[in-house]
Amino acid sequence: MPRLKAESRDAAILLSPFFVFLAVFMIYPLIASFYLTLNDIALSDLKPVFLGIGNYVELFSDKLFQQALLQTLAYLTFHTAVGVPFGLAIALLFNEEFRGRGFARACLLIPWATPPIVAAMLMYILLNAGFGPVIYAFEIAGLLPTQYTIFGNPDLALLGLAIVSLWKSSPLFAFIFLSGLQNLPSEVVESARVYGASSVGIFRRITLPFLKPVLAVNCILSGILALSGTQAFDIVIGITGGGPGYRTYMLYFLAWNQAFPWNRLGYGSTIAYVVTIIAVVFALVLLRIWYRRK
Amino acid sequence: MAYRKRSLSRRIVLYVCVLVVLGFVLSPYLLGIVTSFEREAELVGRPPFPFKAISLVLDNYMYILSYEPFSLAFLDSLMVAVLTTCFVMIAGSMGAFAIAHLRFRGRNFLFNFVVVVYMLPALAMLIPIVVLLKELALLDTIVGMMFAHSILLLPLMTWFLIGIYENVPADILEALQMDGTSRIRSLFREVIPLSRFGFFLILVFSFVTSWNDLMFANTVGIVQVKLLQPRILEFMSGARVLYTQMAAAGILSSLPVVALAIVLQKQIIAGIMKGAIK
Repeated sequence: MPRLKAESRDAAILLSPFFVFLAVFMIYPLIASFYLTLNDIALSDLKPVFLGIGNYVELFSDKLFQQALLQTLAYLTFHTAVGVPFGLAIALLFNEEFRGRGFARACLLIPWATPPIVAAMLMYILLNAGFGPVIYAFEIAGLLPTQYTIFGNPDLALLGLAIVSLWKSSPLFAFIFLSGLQNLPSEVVESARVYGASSVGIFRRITLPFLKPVLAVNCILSGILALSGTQAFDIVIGITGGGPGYRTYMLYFLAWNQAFPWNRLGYGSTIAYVVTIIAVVFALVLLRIWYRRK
Repeated sequence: MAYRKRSLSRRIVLYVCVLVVLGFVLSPYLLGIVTSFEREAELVGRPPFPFKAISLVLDNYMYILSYEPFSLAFLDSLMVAVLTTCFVMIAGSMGAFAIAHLRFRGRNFLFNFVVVVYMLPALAMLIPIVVLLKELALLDTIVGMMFAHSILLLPLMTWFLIGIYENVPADILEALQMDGTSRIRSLFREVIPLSRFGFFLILVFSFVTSWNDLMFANTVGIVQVKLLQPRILEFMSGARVLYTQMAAAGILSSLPVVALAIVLQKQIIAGIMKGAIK
């Protein structure tokens, strides 16, 4: 047994920086933030006033919270149900042979690497009503009235943000799908073709089942990004700031607003906890669907 | 792969689709670059580009580069991103090596725990972190920012590193043990050099995440440490700079990360295949 003991000792030494960091900066804050949800506390003086479950009760009467919840779910659904299949389509296209394929694939990394706030800025320049060429093109084609604003329209602003996040995410999904496709055994595809299988058949019977684990990774990634990643914060604060009239508030953005600008750390933490619960449920539901199909 | 001849019409469709996708991916940048070379007066007048000529001036870049709030933020961001990457690589490597190759109690639990922690929204941690850093006198400092960014990265990067280190054959480690090399030394002398190709993914991911972060940077840095992304947000919401200058600042601030991702593209693919998806 001395060997195992020495191994445990070495493991302890190697794990100590990792573990100390985890304990101080992640586990302690998680527990502390649960304590915060039971209090009313401001960043300015840090004096907690105990409320019990008061913050949780407030959620039920908070109209802004409920609106942000619905908007978050819509955004999440669009991001996953449109973004991931779009990424898959791009990946299948870029898996074909054509001139400049290497360049085209490298371009897929650009939106991912772009700072989200810069992505928000570039998309704002592209889509704004004044000097944005896209709106102008629709205008001279007679499809839109003069100086039409997407992000200022209460009914379209959320869709506008969803399109911006589509630009940021789906090329990344495509890139990850492509990395997965590199392992697809080409002999199997070729022999299926020789035996007369159609392209659709090959996709359904060979490619798609092969990509299943990658699809799972992308769906979970999509959930994280849309619920609690840069897509739920940077892009919102950069383009609409939650407006017009709270129509683009997401839970994550609302939680941050409550905690910092509005100085309600306790209530902000409570909303952050709700986001956590949705994230865990989303991941569990996905995994469940997964394993049942298997 | 056997070469299949495609019909002309099929090839045309293929190229058109590729161009449409590339147009979608690149158009915001193309327009951003054009805007950054424009004069403000010509930009805001209608009709917009590409319906009229562009002026091609460098004034906006000159202005932004000599504008101190921008250049200082650029250097601060660089410092924080480099420090965060180093910290994540060192702490993550040590932990991942132990989880991948050593037997100890609680190993499986730790492996699963790392994944679960990554799923949790960073904001749930951010709020107490701000309080904690304030008490440690690290709020609004470079070191505090480094720790904050490591929260976003350490669990996931450790998980990637476990995958990378598991590819190192156990035989090599046993042989080193026979020679009397300690495990900790063999990590630094043999395992790390052997798995260096996997590191590029960690390197790029850490640098990009730290550089691009807005939420932590906006909350942990207030006055002393103002990073680049909060500055860009300020440009967008305030009236201190013009659109054309704002575009120049945006292009400059995405240059390091976009260049890094494109240059190391092949290594990133290799890293994803080896570590992340197995």
